[in-house]
Amino acid sequence: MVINLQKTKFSGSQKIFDFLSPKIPDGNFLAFNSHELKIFRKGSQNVVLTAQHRTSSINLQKTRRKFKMKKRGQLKIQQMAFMLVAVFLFFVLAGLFYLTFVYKDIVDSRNKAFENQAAMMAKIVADYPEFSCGKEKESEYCIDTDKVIIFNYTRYKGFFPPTYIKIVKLYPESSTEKVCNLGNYPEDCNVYNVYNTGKSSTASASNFVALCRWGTNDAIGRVERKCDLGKIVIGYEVKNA
Amino acid sequence: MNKKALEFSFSWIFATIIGAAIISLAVYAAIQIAKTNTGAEETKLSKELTVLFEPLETKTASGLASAVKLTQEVRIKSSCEIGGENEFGKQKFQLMAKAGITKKWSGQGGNASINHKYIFLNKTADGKKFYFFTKPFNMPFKVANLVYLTSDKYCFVIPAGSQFEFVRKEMGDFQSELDNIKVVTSQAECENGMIKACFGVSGSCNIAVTGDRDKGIVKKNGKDMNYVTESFMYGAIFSDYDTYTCNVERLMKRLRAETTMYVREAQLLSGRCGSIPISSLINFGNNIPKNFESGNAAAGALMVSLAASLEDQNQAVECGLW
Repeated sequence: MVINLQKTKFSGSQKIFDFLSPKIPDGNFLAFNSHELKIFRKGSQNVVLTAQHRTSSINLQKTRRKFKMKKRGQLKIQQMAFMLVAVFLFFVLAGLFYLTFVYKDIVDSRNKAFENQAAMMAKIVADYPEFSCGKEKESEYCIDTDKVIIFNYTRYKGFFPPTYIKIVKLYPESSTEKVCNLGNYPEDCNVYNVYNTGKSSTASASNFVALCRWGTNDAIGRVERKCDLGKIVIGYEVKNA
Repeated sequence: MNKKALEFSFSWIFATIIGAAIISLAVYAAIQIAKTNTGAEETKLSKELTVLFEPLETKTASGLASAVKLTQEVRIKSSCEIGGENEFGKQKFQLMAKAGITKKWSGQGGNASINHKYIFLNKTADGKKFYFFTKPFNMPFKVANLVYLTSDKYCFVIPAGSQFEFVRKEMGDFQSELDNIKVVTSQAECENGMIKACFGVSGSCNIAVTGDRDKGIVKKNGKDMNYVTESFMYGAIFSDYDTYTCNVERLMKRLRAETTMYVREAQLLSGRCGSIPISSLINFGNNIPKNFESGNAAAGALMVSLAASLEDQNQAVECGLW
């Protein structure tokens, strides 16, 4: 037998025991949980009320308050939900923190790789056939400015890894920077903008190099290689973490 | 009604479900982070691999051989793109390591692409030790240093006195570095598990090379790969058909671009000193084939003869272009 207290109507001061006692068969027990009152048979394994419980009267108002425990249970669930949200947010924040470090490490590695590549390019660009002067195994670190001045970098767009390649004539010295073109080459300029991808460069690597071209040696009246001292500058992109 | 049943309040059920969800999410996130880390590491290694190729362009690196021994087995996956009309194409590399309990190739890493290098290798190369050597491709001026990369063991069968004696000599020079290549005179001397490459000799070979130093055919996996110059011969031996044909087309594009550059340089120098006649350079440029596939084999031979003529002219003029 189960009596649902939520559905049962009581008068204001009625004692629950008084209300229930006629309904409980002799020798059986009364038990309740937060939802309902149950009457169990003798010898039941479920919660069994003691004789004291059976004989004492329960104030209906107090009993009703017990059933308000459902609301307290809801509060506990809310507490737990808040706790779970807090734990979840903690993990999310910890994850974001970790990812920031990982991302920074990846960006650093990427910048390092680009820096190494630029440094390497600064050393070897003079050996690329597009810029190199002289024959195989000869004329190391020599750039043929006759090739550089006619180098069509739009044809080679995206071919070389750096963002730009620039060659600066260091000696003979010049007080002003003049970009070389077919009009002022070779005597009246000192900067060759060899290659430019248009990407922003925030760092560069450089190396000294010989800048040679075919020219007439007035002293002997013969055509020979004329060389100056220059610097090759390789630009690369640095990303911020 | 089962009176012995356990009573599970809603809060317990709720906590169990949400707890399980949180643990599942945490485990999933941990796996994903581990995968991302592996991927990042592999991408980094792929990029470093392309940076390692950088110094191989130097004049001193021409005709150089070396071996790289790694601490664990890796797989290099590569692909090649010819690119559009005004592009030089590129090669992409992806490095993989064995990961997880199953020790399968992870493949989490990204590709690192390289536009200005020509690496001849198989699409998939596995191993702990990788061997590479370089050779310049001159036609007649230097176009690029070609890099040959492999982890396989080869047995080069070159009969005594054959027109491929130069291979024996070159591989002999690299013997201390390239211990994966054994040069023998008969097939019986090859060890089991080695890839047999037969030069000018028929038999049950994995690779058959016919022709000579300047031109010929490399037959591999049922496909014919025509070559001009020994640089391409090695390229055909050490790479698969797709990589070989792609790199050949990329190199021909570069050769055309360099020829155009020399035409412009010859025009620039014409007022200062004597250099190669521009018409010879233009004629050479017009006879550069797209590739050396069967229909273009004769064009390849013509290009070689024109290149030899250009070289003679360049030697004779006052201002040599290369």
